[in-house]
Order: sequence, then structure tokens, then C-alpha cells
Amino acid sequence: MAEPALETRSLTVRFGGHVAVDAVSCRFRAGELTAIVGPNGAGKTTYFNAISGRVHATQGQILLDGQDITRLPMAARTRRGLGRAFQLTSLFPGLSVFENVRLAVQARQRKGARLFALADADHAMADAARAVLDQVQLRHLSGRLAGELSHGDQRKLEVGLLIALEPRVFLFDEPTAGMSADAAPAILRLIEDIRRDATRCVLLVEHRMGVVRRLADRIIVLHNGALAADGTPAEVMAADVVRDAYLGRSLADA
Amino acid sequence: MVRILSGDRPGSRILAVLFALLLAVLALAPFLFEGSRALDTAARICVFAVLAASYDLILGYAGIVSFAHTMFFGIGAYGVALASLHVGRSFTALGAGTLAGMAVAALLAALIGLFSLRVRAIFFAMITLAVASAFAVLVSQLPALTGGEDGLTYRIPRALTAAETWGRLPQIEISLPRLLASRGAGGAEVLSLGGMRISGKIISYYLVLGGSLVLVLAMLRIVNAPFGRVLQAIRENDLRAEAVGYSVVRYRVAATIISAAFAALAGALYAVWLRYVGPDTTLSFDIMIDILLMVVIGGMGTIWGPVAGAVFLVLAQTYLQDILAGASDLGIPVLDRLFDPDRWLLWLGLAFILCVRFFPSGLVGRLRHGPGGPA
Ligand SMILES: Nc1ncnc2c1ncn2[C@@H]1O[C@H](COP(=O)(O)OP(=O)(O)OP(=O)(O)O)[C@@H](O)[C@H]1O
Ligand SMILES: [Mg+2]
Repeated sequence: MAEPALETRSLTVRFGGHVAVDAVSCRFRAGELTAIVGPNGAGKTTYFNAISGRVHATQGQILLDGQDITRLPMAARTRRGLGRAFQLTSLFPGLSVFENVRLAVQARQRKGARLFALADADHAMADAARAVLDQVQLRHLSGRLAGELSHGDQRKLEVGLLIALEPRVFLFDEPTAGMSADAAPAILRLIEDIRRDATRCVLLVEHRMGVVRRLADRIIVLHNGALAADGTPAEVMAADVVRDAYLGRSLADA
Repeated sequence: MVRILSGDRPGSRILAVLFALLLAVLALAPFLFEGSRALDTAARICVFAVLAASYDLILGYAGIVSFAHTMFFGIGAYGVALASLHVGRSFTALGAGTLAGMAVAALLAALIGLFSLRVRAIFFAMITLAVASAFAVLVSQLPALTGGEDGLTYRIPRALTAAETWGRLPQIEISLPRLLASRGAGGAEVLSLGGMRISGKIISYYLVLGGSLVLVLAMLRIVNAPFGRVLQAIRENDLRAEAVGYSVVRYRVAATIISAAFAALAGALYAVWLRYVGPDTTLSFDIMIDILLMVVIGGMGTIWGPVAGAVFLVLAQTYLQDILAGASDLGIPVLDRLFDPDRWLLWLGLAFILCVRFFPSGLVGRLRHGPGGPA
């Protein structure tokens, strides 16, 4: 079997005495979309934080394409192809929507250190940025300041920044939470498109089980920071432990 | 033209006209005004425009608060002074001193940045304050090298001094038509223009003006380059900048170094102009406050703003006392007291408060976006 795109080995994050992520070992392959579910406070976001380098792993290792990235800073991980969209929207509020996306494109094209080139004259960047804005349906708002967008549009831009990075491993943390009902399907379709690309590996935190069932090849369940279940959607949803811990409520919703 | 300006236009028609006017006045300053004071003011406007703009690179663009900016300015000035003293009076000394000052400033900025930009912003501000104070003390305590409190006087190439005559402007005599000259007793009046001596001092002024222009344009270019955009991104949200793949610390350090190098270049120009350096003219904390005022009054994060702020503040510092002196001669008891020339700082302070109150995004911000700053 091919080497996993991303792997965590006994990954543990402690905040003082509180264990937010508890020895999670998991492998994620390219061409696969894994949904991560679990109740509020289960440690899903913290798991992403540790993988992306936002918080330090207290113990364990993180491997990207087989290489240990546990000690790398966040930016270096991104440059190696690990991209992330935040649950709490994190944008450049005082810059235009277009500029937000272009900054991600510019990072992806490794042009940030150019001191005297004119950013506005770089058509390759502008075209790539516009293409992303089309994908997340924000083209008509290009000129607006990111901080002035509605909450739903900011969520779209959050996804846009990740897509613009063209990573190999995508970490989506509840990407459609807070989006209007008519905007969410387009974003979910985008995620489906990404999954279809056999070179991409997608991790998706998502509460709505209907969405999870439709998109996921595999589900892992976190409970109190620990891995409680791991398998195909059918397997996981049948497991008692999962019903008890979490899914009982959500299955009823779905 | 727009390309030279990096596509970054002043932002509104009024501003464009004002800046064009400013450039025209500065370019013709030696011939428009009489006396050395006006020319001196024009030269200081040029130097401080560069200095304030270079501070804007870190404060306005990268969002870094530093109190060491005058130190870098001073290093550039002392570089020229020391080279002129030790290498001898020559253009080589000016060039070598400028380069050396720039290199030392960049190195020091790199050290401070690497040691303290990893941690919290407030810590960096404190460190710069400490280092700048220590540097100022050091300069005043090493009279053998730096001239101490008295500073250094040195000679620059004769070609740049008032003693040298480069030539004369052609004299143009225009005889006015009788109609216009009708108040004369019948004979045609002759208007005489030009004929002025072009001294080395004037050439020196153009060196300062030309140098400043190039430096400001270079900074405009930098802030509109991908690098400058990254600085803005870091200012807006450093966590996101890092998450997108920019190593924030590296960019912050680079910004500090570049800004310090530009400050040193401004200092070198100032040293060429003044032919004197001392702690008060280049290193004092008063100048640091002036720079802050220029950037804030003019509008942070625009480069154009700090240039406008420099013009405003240098003019105010130079002429406010005169204006007040005029106003205090009106013979109205209370007002005379209030307008006492010694109170000029009070009035400047008042102007500053009004500025911040009514133009929170600075003069340029205000003129770009109308009342209330950016929408
Ligand atoms: N920086 C931090 N410092 C201290 N405790 C933290 C920190 N970040 C998260 N926690 C704690 O870790 C636990 C896991 O939080 P986390 O945000 O990872 O949960 P989650 O599964 O993403 O929940 P949600 O579904 O609400 O997004 C929580 O108890 C939270 O309070
Ligand atoms: Mg979460």
C-alpha cells in the first residue's frame, strides 16, 4: 500500500493537566476524504492545530509524505503542502477580498520575497486569484474589504485561501458552518472535486452526518481527545461506542 | 510615470496636484526663495520625508513599533561624518561613509530583530528603546570617536559648498510693454530674471533632493511589490500570514533591516547637507517623536502620508514661531501671551490632537477616502 500522505503517531496535546488530544495514531492516504467527528470539545480543532503547527505536540510525531514535520514551524509545513482552513475565520480584514486570495497565491508561487517586482503587474498571480474567487463565488466582491463581508462570505473566503494554496493535504474545519443554506452546497461540491483528485488528501471536520455520509470515504471519531472509532461510514455508524458517545444525537438529526 | 510610481498614485486628484506642486516647489526652491533658511528648510523636508517614509515601512506596513529609528538615522549620518574626517574630504569618503553607515545600521537591525522579533511586539518596542538609549549614551560618552555631545564638524568636497561657483543662470531681460508699465514715467520697464550664481550649496541641495526622490520612489516600489504585500498581510493577521506559508519572523526581520537601511541613507543625506552631526540633530528622542508625528499626521501605511507629514511638521517647526511672533504683536493682552513664540510647542500639540481627532487615518487617508477614513 502506498505511503500515507499524512500520519500522526501517538499525537498528544496537553494544556496543563487537560489532555485535549490523547495519543491519536492515524494514517491518511491521498485520494481519500476522512471525516473527523466528535462532540464539542472532543479535540478535533486541537488535532488540526497540532498537525498544522499552530500548537506544539506534547508527544508523538506528525509525518507528511513520510517525513517528520513535528518540529517544523507552521509556515514551513504549509510550504510542504499542508493547507488549512480555520473553524474561526482568520482573514486579512483590512485588505480586499482579491488581495486576500492573491496573498495565498503569491505564497504558493513562492514570490513573497520579491522586493521590487510590481505585484499588480503579475498576471499569473491575478489570474490564479480570480479563478479561486470564481470557485468560491466571491468574484463579484473582489474589491470589498474582507472585514466588511457578511459572515457567510467570510467563510467562503476562508475556504478560498486554502484552495489558493493548492496543498496536497487539506484540513477543513467545519467549512460550511455559518454559511447560508444556498451557499454551502457549492462549497461542499468544491470539496468533492478535490477528493476526486487522487493526489489530494482531505481531512474534514463536520458535524452534520448527512454531509459526512455523502462525502466521506472514512470516518474517525474523537472522544475526549482519543480515537474512539475508525472505519467506513457504514462501520462507524453501526458501532455502539459511537452511538453512545456521539452519533445517537446526530443520527437522529441527519 | 505611473510605472515609476509603482502604480501607487497619491490616491486622489487633490493629493496628486498637491504632491506635484510640492515637487515643483522643492525643485525650484533655490531660485524661488531668498536666503539660506528657506533652502535649509527645503532640504530638511527632503531628508525627513525619507526618514518618515522609512519608518512607515515598519510601523504602517509591517505593524512593528520601534523606537530605534533615529539610531539608524544617526548611524548613517555619523558614517558620512567619520569617513569624511578619517578618509579625508572627498566624494569617496561620502560614498564609503554612506555604505558603511548603511551596512552597520542593517547589521544592528538584523541583530535586534533576530533577538526580539520572535517574541511579543511590546517586547520588541522595549528592546529598541533600550538599545537606542544605550547607543545615544555611548555616542556621548566616546568623545574621542564621536565628538561626544559637541558632535563632529567635517569638510565635504568643495564642489558641494557655497564657496564653489558652478555657473550662473542666464540673465533674461524682458522689457514690459508700455501698457503694462504705464505707471512708469513713460520709459519701458525692464524685468530682469535669472543671473543667479549656482553655488556648490545649490548642487548639494539637488543631491539631497534627487537622493530623497529616488529613495521615496524605491520605497513606494517596495510596498507595492509582493514583499510589501506580505508585510501588510502580517500587520493584518500574522497568524494567517504564517498559515498561508510566510515565515513571519523572517519577513519582520527583513522589514526592520530594509527600514533601517533607508533611515541610514536619510542620515547620510542629512550629514552631507549639514556638514555637522551631533546627538541632538540625529539621535535625540525628540526626533523619534517628530518621526512618529509625521507618520501619524500624514497617514500610516501609505508612504505618501509620511511624506506629507514631514512637509507639514518641518514647516510648522520652522515657521510656527514666526507666525506666532506676528500674532503676539497685536497688542491684545491675553492673546499676546497665548501666541508667545515660546508657546509654539503647545500649538503644535493642539494641531496634532485635532489631526488625530478629525483625520484618524491621517491627512492622506482623509483626502483619499473622504471623511472618516477608509470606508
Ligand atoms: N489553547 C488552548 N488552551 C487550553 N485549552 C484548550 C486550548 N485549545 C483547546 N483547548 C481545550 O481543548 C479541548 C478541545 O477543544 P477543541 O477546540 O479541539 O474541540 P473541538 O472538537 O474542535 O470542538 P468544537 O466541535 O466545539 O469545535 C477543549 O476542552 C478546549 O477547551
Ligand atoms: Mg473545533
